[in-house]
Amino acid sequence: MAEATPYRRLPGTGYRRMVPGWAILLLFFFAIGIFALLLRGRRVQLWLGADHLLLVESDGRQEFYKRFYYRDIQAVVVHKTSEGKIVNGILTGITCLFLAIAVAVGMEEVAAGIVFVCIAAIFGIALLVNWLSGPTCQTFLRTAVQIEELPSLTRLRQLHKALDQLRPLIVAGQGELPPDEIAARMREVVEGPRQPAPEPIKTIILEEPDAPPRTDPGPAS
Amino acid sequence: MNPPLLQCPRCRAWLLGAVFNQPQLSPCPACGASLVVEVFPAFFRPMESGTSGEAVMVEGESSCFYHPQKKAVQPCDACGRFLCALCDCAIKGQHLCPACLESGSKKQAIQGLEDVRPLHSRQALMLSCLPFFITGLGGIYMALRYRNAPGSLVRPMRWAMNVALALGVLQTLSFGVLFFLIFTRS
Repeated sequence: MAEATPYRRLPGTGYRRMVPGWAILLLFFFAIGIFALLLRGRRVQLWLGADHLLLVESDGRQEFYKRFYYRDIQAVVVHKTSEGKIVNGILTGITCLFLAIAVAVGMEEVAAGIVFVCIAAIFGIALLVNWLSGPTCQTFLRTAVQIEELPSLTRLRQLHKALDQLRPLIVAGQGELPPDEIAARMREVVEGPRQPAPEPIKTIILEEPDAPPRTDPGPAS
Repeated sequence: MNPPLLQCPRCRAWLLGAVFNQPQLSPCPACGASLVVEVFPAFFRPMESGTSGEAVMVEGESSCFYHPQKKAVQPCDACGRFLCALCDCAIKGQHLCPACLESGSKKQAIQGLEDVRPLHSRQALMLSCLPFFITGLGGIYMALRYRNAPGSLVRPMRWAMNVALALGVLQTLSFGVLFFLIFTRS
């Protein structure tokens, strides 16, 4: 039976890493194998609540929560990264390498060739999955008091899906921001608020050194 | 107050309105990185400043528990102490004093301030699934001890406690039978 929860999940799962991704890959293949996945860090997911976005980090033993109220979210900034392309390049290289070995070895011993084809197929599947997942990105959410990275939104396709669900809730909490208003408000921010016109400078005329200063009323208009 | 400006995550250059709320990826004016910048009305809203309590003007007027010279505006919903505008912390329709807020936050008693929860059901399930004699017992203990403890906010997994209990009992019984057979045969 499905249990009632006031939250709805947004697409995407990410990890707040304890060690860099390349180090995990290195440990995975050359040192501790599958146990390297224990060093992935906390799993991060986003959930939509009635009046807030909930960021859930889980380490398997505990869950850590951060709430971003829709009325407080100022901006979402996304930066397209080249991580996906780099991983694609590396996986292509490894797949090609194993295929080449398979061809070279398979000429003399078919069984060994099949083993290397299987290894190449594993990397080929990983390459296909990474390629189909689309371009990678880094997402940040800004409120008045913090800028929080959202590690669960690392693919542009997921991001657009998530924003399509998130946007109406933020608009319901804050109202719409028309495009022409953005330009006007940014101009105000850059140039500063309009100041009232300065008063005309009054000239002081001194006729006698001991007499009190007399101010000139300015030109009659 | 912070100026409402955004920085490019790559080059840290200030971003201007031209890249905001564009339907497609827009290049950063400084480094050319492809960006999506979605801003909302809160971005331009000035930060609200807190209010300080009004001074007590008339003798006998109720004053704040923490600031006796300030006028009370609200009683604390938890302890009933009178609070001035500065001490009144409004959270989810509740008015709390700083002390109750702190203790409520520590005890995880205030909904909306809870920032961590232990996942007992998953721990019990994991223990019951591990194929060692003592882990089955551990799974049974956790399933019984934390049966009514609140689970995850997003995936409560109440069923996991029952499954953990069943698996733990099954595993312990299996090991019991195994040990019995080994000892009786020897």
